[in-house]
Amino acid sequence: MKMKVNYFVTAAAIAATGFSLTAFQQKPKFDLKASITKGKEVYTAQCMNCHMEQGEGMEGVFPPLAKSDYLMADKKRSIQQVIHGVSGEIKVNGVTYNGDMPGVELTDEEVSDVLNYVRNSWGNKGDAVKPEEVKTAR
Amino acid sequence: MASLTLKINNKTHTVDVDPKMPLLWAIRDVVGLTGTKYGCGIAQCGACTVHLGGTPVRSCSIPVSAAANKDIVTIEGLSTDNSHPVQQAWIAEQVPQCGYCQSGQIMAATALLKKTPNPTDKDIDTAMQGHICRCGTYPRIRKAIKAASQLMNQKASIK
Amino acid sequence: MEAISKNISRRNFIKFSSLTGAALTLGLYSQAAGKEAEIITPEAAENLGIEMNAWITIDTNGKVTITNHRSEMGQGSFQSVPQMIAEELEVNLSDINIVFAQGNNAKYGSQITGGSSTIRGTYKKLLKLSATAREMLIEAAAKKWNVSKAECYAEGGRVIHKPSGKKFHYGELVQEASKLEAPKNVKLKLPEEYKIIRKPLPRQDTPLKTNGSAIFGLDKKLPGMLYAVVERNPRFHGKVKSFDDTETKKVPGVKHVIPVKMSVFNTFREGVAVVADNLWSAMQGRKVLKVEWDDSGFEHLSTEQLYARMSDALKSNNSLSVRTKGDAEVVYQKSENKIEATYETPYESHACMEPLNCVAHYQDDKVEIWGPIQGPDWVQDFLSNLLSLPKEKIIVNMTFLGGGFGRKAFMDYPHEAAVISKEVKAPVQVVWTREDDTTQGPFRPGMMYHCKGSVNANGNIESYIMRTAGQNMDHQWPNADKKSYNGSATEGFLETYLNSLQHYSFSDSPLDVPIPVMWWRSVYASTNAFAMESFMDELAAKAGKDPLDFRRPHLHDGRYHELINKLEEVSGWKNRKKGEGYGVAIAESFSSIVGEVVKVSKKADGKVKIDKVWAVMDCGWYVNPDIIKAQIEGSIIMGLGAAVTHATHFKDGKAVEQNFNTYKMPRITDTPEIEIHIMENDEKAGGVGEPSLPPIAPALTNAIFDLTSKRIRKLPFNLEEV
Repeated sequence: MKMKVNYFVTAAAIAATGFSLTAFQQKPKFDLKASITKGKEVYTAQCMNCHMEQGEGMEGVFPPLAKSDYLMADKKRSIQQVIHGVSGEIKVNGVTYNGDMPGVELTDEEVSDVLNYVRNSWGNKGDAVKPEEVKTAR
Repeated sequence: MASLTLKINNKTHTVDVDPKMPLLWAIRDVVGLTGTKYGCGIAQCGACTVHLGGTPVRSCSIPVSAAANKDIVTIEGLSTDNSHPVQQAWIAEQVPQCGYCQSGQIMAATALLKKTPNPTDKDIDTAMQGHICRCGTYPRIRKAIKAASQLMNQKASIK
Repeated sequence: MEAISKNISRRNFIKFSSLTGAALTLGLYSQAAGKEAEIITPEAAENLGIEMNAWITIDTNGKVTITNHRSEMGQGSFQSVPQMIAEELEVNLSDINIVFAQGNNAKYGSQITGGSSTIRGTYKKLLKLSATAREMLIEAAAKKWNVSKAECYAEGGRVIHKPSGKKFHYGELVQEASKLEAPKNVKLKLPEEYKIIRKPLPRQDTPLKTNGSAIFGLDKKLPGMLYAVVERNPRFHGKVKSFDDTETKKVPGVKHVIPVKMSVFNTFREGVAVVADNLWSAMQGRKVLKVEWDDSGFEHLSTEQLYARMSDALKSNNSLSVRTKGDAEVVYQKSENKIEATYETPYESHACMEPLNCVAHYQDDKVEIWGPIQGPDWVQDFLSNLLSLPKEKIIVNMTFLGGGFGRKAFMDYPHEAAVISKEVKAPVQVVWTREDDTTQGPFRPGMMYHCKGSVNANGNIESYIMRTAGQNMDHQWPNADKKSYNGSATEGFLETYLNSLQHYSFSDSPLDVPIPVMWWRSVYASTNAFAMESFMDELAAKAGKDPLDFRRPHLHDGRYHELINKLEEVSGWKNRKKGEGYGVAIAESFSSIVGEVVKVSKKADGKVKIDKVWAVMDCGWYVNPDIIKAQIEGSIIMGLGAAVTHATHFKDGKAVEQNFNTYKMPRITDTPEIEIHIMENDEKAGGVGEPSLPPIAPALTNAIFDLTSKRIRKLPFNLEEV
């Protein structure tokens, strides 16, 4: 009885995989809005404690993400900084910062989501960061 | 070294420290308030959470100079007699096990309830996910925040 | 600053008084209302009164002080030890002092807080000596009144003469009582007579942990205390070739830079200590310290190499037989209905929230230690040997522990503190950073398991063969016999399975590599059970049986049937709906049996999520059901972490994960709903702090198999990628 059920589930799983493979091959349009929504969760867990809820940071201590010239200037740099962290001097909106940010172990998708959130919140507007870009930039 | 003024729990302390020293060590080792804990030093665990100008911050990652002259509240400033509703709820739900992370958890919960007096399950998880508890008191933290919210609402209605 | 350090310098002793807070006023939480901690001076503490025995002291005002001889690392000894004593002594928990014992196993017996042993190891003794003290107090009262002892009884810290209603508080009796001969064979209460035991009473240490007043090791301060951090060899065994402290000595506050050696079980580890008048300066000084290491003479291994060796060992003919019955291999070979599978579990750090630290003050050939310590008597014994001092010259004080999980039972960090204090001639607090704590081990050993088994025509197990490969913790002890097998190879397996099986074989291939390993909460059961209970599920599938029904013929004891029936009932096992996956695992360790059921389903995006966990604990005789529930919740979450969120890897002989950004701890968002049931029976007390951890990983992966038909045989795995 149980074996039959398992067989059925396996068959269903194969069918499902086949379906998603087809879907992948069709390359659906990247859903930026959904990515931003998911990115807010990653931000709250990993970033908000220093960069603050509205991305305002803390002057001289944690650089702002809101309306940040530094953030919006280089997408690839941001990807690498999320993954590997930042240390040493950087200049953001004319203010010098010299702290340590730890890199965080996130999946490609999570990195893409959190960057889409910060790059499209608090007055920022940026094009989408896709998981594939994260994969190449790692 | 610099002479800095720290306003902690409505009390003014003048400290002579390296301005780059994290606020955490100034609070613990210089001022001597040890309720605020060191957990990771990189703003990942939340054990060092205090309120700075009303906002919960990670004191391990903020230089003491950035906190000078601002209002700082630590766990000891919430109440020393456990009379704060969040502390009451924590006791009622028997949240702590080892207790090491709980100062930070309580400070985060207090900040959440100030902003969101009736938090949903999702609000609670979102606000508390930056706080690690190795003992796994999370199910009780959820319950205690709900209980504290109820207590605070009752208090408000009595007033 | 001076005044502050005086105020916080000596908080060894704690007493409690009642508090009526807001919750009480509102009438909501009367039972759980908190108490306020009050600190009393050691001078007063030294004069606590007259010792009735090692645990019970009563002063002439009637104040009762109960000594907790075990450490409090979250598991609740600070509540459960006094709760046991108060029951038979007939005192109210709210009226007592509680103090931590110093290390002294001649007085208290073993104090090592490990193996989930605090209750199960001492309850009979503690109940008896508490009842004995009570009887002596009653006898003293009867003598004073010149009445028959039978007319008197004890209650609430008083002896009452029933016919007249006359009362004495214990303080009025203690002098006479302590001189009486202790009665033999006192009558202990029956469980149905308990007023304090088996009640979910609030913990005495909770109020200290909600206002920041509980003193952990890191909070201990002594006048004139210096702070030390140590740059230790990242490959554990290398030696200090040379070091350059030019820049370190320029850091304001740095006082000394000295090479140190500390003992970790069978080895000495080398490092260079930076000692300063404040911790931050010591940390800054360490950052610019340059150490050259000699890392020759031992292998620098990676995770891949470690598991390749285990895999080779499992395929080889070399294994040490641990436990066998019948002729498992022959039966297996002949069978037509057989399967085999290999399982893998990771190395892990303990990652206590309070990183390792210890205060030592070495002076005049005497050393006093304060710290988060799981075995104060062990520290005393070890330091006595290592420092060549008599035991009585080593005083070991326990603070509260910010987690322990086995790690704080090692003697390395107290040894390090003592050595540095001796060298710099001042009290010293040695502090491990989070990175030190995560990367230095000793770790939970990574393991590989190869299981083979067959089922007969009735769908019952006819042969069961399990081979283990991995490091043997026993081989870490000095002068260990490295040819000895792992005696814990069956830990986690239900004892009743062993009785029911006709043909089984457990064997072990020890791995000798230079990675330091030791106990981690629930020890080998934490990894064995993943292989055992995953394979049980695979055998059930092979037999075409429901996983619970498959186990039933192999349970030769009513106690196990009751547990499995309860698990089936509370989890709604039989009423599962479409789209839900249910998995079960049952493990036995530290004399307790725990069954867990996990329910999983798919989120809208097709990824697997954990909906709920049910746990049924049979720990026999118990003290506080709420503490048990808390321990089960915590064990499940810690076990989930080791299953799905973190692992320690090695590269070139060094641990890779350093802090919580890469060693990712389970968080509130990873926490499923947990429902707990405790079995009521007359069995002996079993452990509580560890036995709920082993079943969670296999229950989860079995549930995922039920939902997706996908077998997960390697931990950790990413739930997002199932």
